[in-house]
Amino acid sequence: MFKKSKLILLGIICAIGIPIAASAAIVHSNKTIENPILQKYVNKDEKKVKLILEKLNKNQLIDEVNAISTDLGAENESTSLLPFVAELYKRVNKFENQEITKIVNDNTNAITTRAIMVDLYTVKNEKNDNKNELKKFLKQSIPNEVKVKIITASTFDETDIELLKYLIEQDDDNLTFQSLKKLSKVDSKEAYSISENILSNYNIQSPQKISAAQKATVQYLRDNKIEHKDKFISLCLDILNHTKDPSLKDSSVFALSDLYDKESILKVIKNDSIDRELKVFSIDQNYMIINEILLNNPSEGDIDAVVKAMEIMPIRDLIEPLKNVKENINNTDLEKRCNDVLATMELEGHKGNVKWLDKNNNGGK
Amino acid sequence: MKKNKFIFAIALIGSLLISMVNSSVYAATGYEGYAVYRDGVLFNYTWHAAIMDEAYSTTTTRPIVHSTLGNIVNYDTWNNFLNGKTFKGVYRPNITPTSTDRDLFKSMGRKLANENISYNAGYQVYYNTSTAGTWVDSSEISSMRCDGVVEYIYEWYGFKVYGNSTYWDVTKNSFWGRDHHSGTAVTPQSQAGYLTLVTSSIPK
Repeated sequence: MFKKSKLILLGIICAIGIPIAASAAIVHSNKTIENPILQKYVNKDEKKVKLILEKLNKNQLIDEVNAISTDLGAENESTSLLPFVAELYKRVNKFENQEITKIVNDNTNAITTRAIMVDLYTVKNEKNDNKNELKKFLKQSIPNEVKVKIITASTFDETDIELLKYLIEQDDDNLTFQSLKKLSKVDSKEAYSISENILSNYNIQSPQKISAAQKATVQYLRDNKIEHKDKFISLCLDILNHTKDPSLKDSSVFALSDLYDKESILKVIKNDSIDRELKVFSIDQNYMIINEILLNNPSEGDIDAVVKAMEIMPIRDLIEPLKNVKENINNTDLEKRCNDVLATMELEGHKGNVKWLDKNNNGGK
Repeated sequence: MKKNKFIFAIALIGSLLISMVNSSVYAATGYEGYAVYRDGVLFNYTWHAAIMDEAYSTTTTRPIVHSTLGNIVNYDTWNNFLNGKTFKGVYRPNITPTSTDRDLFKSMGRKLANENISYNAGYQVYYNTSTAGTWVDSSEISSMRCDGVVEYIYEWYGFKVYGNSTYWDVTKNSFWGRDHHSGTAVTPQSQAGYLTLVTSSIPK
């Protein structure tokens, strides 16, 4: 009797234990893969992964996303979720909004899973954004990463101004950055007012807050076609010259470039401390502003700056306008440089990038 | 007469060479603005993509810009990019970019990093089709995938990567164009197939 029981027990141990032992033994690139969900995908190509995923039901698919998010997400293996998310999107209409919001709000799910479900909700409700049910989580206790995802994926209107102002106060990092950026689209004057406060004592503010305040100020100055931008231009140059934070240096140059302003682009061209590639970017983005400079009776100093710009980034569209003002040059050295750069523009000039002239960019005015 | 012609030719070639050297002295060098890839995403499923912000992997501590999960488009270290996986090569658009083009690629990478754009595993580039302009400015992107960083940068400047003749430009605001660059229609590994290999060695 005892022997028989032992045998049965041994059988059970073998039945359960061997597969577990075998599965725990899977090794890939000198690394043991312990998660049984992950083991299914070892050495599988695109077609095989697709076949596995197609057989999963909705809940199983979410479980797999959670498993991958927890294991590979922690290793920064972001793209690992690509086939899973592709499969989720294929089934977008099989999910009710309530199901999605429940997963977003469930703190037992991985943050990545919750962020992915925010994306799924956004795709599902793209044409019905007025009834965004995710926004209610922004005042609740959910991780900031999920809040940021909701903010970036959602459209806001006048009824959300107080909510966005509340969120701006919540941290000094990306949550503030994204909230202020959104507020500037809804109420650029209010965002400008908050930004003025941030920038007035930028020495004690976080880089993210300063960067967002620069963007919101640019939005306000552009939206309201405010002519005198000198104070803001000086402030950006001041930050650029004094900060040691490379991201803030970049942010200051991009703010100057995004202004689409004559004085601003001239300052960028003439500033020797700005990296060459950022000057190239700004000249490309502002080629129509440079064109306007040439068309409006430019001083010799202005022509000098335009020649300098074309030496850095020659643009074919500006050949004729530059030729037309060449006669105004008295300085022989500048005249020679102008002739040389015109030859370069003819030979290897880039075509102006019309994408910058989009109405939303305001590049073409 | 023949001697004069010879001297003139030498002088012309010399001045051409000098102008070539001069125009490239300050322009993109090394591998700046090129795309880099490594394998090992979901074991052998696909690759991971990034854009070179520096000339070489050893130039600075954070030589690349990429989009990673739970994070935003940002600069990162070479080790974080590789993450213990195998390097698959440096790639460029099929039409050879000039060094000025590569300056533009690099600066657009910096612009994307400046916008704090979050990760999206489903779409290369995601934006609101109703609020974005005709051309999707970097500030209008709500999220993007690692291969989206490469696709957006190259295609903003007119260098086609993936896609058919109607929807190839991922920077053009279009529901179907956005969809054309989603899911598994294009992956980081298949994207590399639409580019030209510069070198399969680590850029150092």
